[in-house]
Amino acid sequence: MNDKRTMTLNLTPAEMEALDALARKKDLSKTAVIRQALRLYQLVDIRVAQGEKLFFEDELQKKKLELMVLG
Amino acid sequence: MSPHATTLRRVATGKQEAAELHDALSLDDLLDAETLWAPAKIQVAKAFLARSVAGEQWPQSLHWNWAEKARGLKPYAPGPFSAYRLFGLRAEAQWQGVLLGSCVAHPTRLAPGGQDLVYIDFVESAPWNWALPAIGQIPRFKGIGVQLVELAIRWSVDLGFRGRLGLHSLPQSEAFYRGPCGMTDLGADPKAHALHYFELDESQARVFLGED
Repeated sequence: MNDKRTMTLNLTPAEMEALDALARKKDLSKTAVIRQALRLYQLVDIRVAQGEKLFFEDELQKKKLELMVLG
Repeated sequence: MSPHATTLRRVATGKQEAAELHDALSLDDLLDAETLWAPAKIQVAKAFLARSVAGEQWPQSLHWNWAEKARGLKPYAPGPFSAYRLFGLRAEAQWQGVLLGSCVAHPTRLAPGGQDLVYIDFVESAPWNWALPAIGQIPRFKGIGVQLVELAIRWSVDLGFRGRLGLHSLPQSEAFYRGPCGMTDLGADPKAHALHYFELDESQARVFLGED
């Protein structure tokens, strides 16, 4: 984790608001949110590439929704 | 990170001996561990069978296979930038303990809930480090689990998760997580074979790390 590179990230005001809100809600820095998002995206990509599907489930309402992830 | 020097207590002598903490094991390292651990587990099983020890006293991780776990982890390339990371403790040129952790898709359950944490998928010490009174085996080294859990907490801190940690415990390990680790037992989880779910919050992590 010590070998880091710096980049400039241009976000729209709405995107920046979303990032700020997530950082507050998750008690993370904005950098940590972006890193987590990258890891999650990578994880989903690997599993979808292996033929798996991504679902959201609401146990109370007995609903299960497949999230389509484009390859 | 290069290996970090530490010590382990040899139970037979009570002396501290040199060891190394590793925070980025490769899949080959897991295979190396399994190469030595699998035959040792078979010896444990033989001893339990020979003494007709009741099933509930058998070590509950006896069937774990780190080579099999390496196969499943291959696509994720475990490491500091992956969702998965492997930690290990090495002494006498052998892996004395290994921990697999993950850092996505495991939100906290303690209030306020929904925050990120490091989840310990598996942690195991080498079979010769197990205390097995049923067959008269004393551990070779003590203190492996605590040091591996500390590495996972420090990873959580590095990620910005403030040391938050979660895991499902085998019944034989629950006392370890409640006691030395100071984690909160949230009870049996029906979605995880009724294993008890344990969580370490920010303040408990500070206590664990001796920062309080």
